[in-house]
Amino acid sequence: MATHESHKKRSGLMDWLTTVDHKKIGILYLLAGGFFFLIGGLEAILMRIQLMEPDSKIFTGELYNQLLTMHGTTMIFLAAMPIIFGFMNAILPLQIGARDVAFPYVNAVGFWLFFFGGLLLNLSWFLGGAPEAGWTAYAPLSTVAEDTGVDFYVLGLQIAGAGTLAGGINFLVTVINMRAPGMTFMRMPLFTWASFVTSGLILFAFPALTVGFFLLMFERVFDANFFNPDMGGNVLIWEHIFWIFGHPEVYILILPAFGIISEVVSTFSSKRLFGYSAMVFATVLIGFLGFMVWVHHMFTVGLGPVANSIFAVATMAIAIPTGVKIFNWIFTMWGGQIRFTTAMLFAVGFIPTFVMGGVTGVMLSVPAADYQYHDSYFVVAHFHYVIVGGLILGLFSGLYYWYPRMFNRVLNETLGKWNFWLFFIGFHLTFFPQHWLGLMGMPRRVYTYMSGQQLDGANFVSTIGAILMGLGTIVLLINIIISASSKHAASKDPWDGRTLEWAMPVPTPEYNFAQTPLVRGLDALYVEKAAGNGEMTPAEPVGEIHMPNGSILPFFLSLGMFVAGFGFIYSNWIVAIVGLGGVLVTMFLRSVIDDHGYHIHKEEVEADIKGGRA
Amino acid sequence: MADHHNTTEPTVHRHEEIQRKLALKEERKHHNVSFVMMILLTIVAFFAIWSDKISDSFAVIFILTLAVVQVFFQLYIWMHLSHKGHDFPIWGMASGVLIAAITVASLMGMIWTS
Repeated sequence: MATHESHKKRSGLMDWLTTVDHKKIGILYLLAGGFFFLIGGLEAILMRIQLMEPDSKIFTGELYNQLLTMHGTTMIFLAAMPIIFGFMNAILPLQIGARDVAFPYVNAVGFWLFFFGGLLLNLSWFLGGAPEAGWTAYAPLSTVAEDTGVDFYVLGLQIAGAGTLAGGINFLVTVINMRAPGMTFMRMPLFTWASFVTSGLILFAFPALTVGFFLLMFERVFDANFFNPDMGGNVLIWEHIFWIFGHPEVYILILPAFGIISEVVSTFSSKRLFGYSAMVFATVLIGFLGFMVWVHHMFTVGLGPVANSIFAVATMAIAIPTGVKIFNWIFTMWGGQIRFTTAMLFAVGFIPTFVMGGVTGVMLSVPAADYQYHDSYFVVAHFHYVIVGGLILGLFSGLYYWYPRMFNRVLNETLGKWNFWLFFIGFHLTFFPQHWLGLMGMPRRVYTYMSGQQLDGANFVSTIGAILMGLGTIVLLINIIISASSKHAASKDPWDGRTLEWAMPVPTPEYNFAQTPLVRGLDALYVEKAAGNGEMTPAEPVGEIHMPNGSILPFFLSLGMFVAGFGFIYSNWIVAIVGLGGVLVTMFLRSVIDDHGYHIHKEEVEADIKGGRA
Repeated sequence: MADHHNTTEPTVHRHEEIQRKLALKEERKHHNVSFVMMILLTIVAFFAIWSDKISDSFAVIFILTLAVVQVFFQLYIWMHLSHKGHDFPIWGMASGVLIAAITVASLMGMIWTS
């Protein structure tokens, strides 16, 4: 029962650099991911400006290749995944009634590794040029590239990927071990379920990427020959390894969006989710099947009809659990008291858009047809329909839905609707014509096209759409600035929520629940509301709350990796050793310094409860 | 914690104590057996290669099989996977092994046999 008085409250910048609080780390992920999202979006608009007119010469050749590589890499690894992690951090522990994630320190390490990895990758713009081998970095294109761009890609993503892996493991342990009393697996909100399955996919898929990056790094930095056929290597190994990671990766991206949509649709239809157990099963099944379909990215490699057919059938099978989800969302809305808030608009817009992406996905999964579509704009249209039309709409929906919980302010609904319509119409204008561009033979990743091939009109429309999407995003930024400067704090439950994250006052106390809640059914908060209680029944008396201390070590550990990354990129071994030495020192310090955290006293918690702060 | 039990129900506590001791004894026996077995398996694997008596292709399969047996000893006897509360580690490892096996098998099939 010893209290640890070593706890000192930090403030300002130092608080954010040292925080191990899942809510603050969630905000950090969201801010950093949002920043990279803007960079990736800018790169996309620059590409669309180049493609607006035929024979245009604004961003050509090498520079265009750099733009397309960095757009894809940034959006997948540095924007989409961190924003997902932001929501998982901010919301998942609240949804299961936990005080924090299982390993708060590791959580901070994960964030800072991602941040410094992303920073390293993006610094390539100023240090001799960004990578230009595509986000897939196929060998031998990536192994023979002379400049340091691909080195930045390998080292930057290796560091960021380590952070992601740490985060994934953390959430797995959190969900398994930290659920509140009564929160059985089949009572977990769908977002928590989706995050749980996603974390499992991260655990199994990211090691493949890590291995691939190590091989590529050894090939480039130490002249190894894994992918060099002249020396007994095989270029195909990279493609396989990349897609063994890469296909689960797209499910890592989309499953949390499915989770968000499930929460939003259920809340704003004022109905419990239709077919909850089928939804859970479909999520797990999609995660499982996601590992057996990677060859559909490689149909034209020439692996033979047997391999192609097996993977084609496996790919088509994924449409079944996905279809189950689509119908369950529709049935959830059916007969519900639907409120078309901005979050709900994004969710409703998501459903048909994602179906369109799914349908082109089934088209692409037919190997014979894929020979026609492969490497054309049809593929670009397909994966933007599932990633932007699926994932990004889902993330926007989640942002408007959870913003009051995360930032203590409600985003303006009028501006939100402008944001939705501009982005939604812009999105379809951008990518719908690209289906036809692809079918007419326009290849992807090529910086120009000739006039007189009937490609002009659709490309022009596509660029206009991209600008509309940019405007929609600017409206969101304005909305965020307005809400941040407004004095109106959000109420604790602005949407009449159904799940545990709406059961606490705003701002969320640092210990989340003053007393761990007792969960008595699916949609735990709704169960209590329906029973006339209005708030959660506590599962424990008010007591001391044990909290972890913040630490600056995760920041320096990641900084060490960042420095070491530069050492490897420029083959400067002194810098590399200094960086890795710094990593070891922080690890050593973490191991020898005994930090038991601190306690929030019972009296303080009681005062918080009395004052309406807990 | 012990004195708490003593003051309330001494006989029940005694009974539990004996049961726990028996279980521990049983476990110690398992540990001893598996320890000897693991040393034996290692010696067998070593001799399979060192003696040069069996063909290389069979030797590889043979020592891999021995390795798998050792992994099970390790997981179940030394890391207590058979005890209660290990459902998640077992599920995690089993699905990991399944995915790895599918991946490696299809990779080998596609890269080196066609």
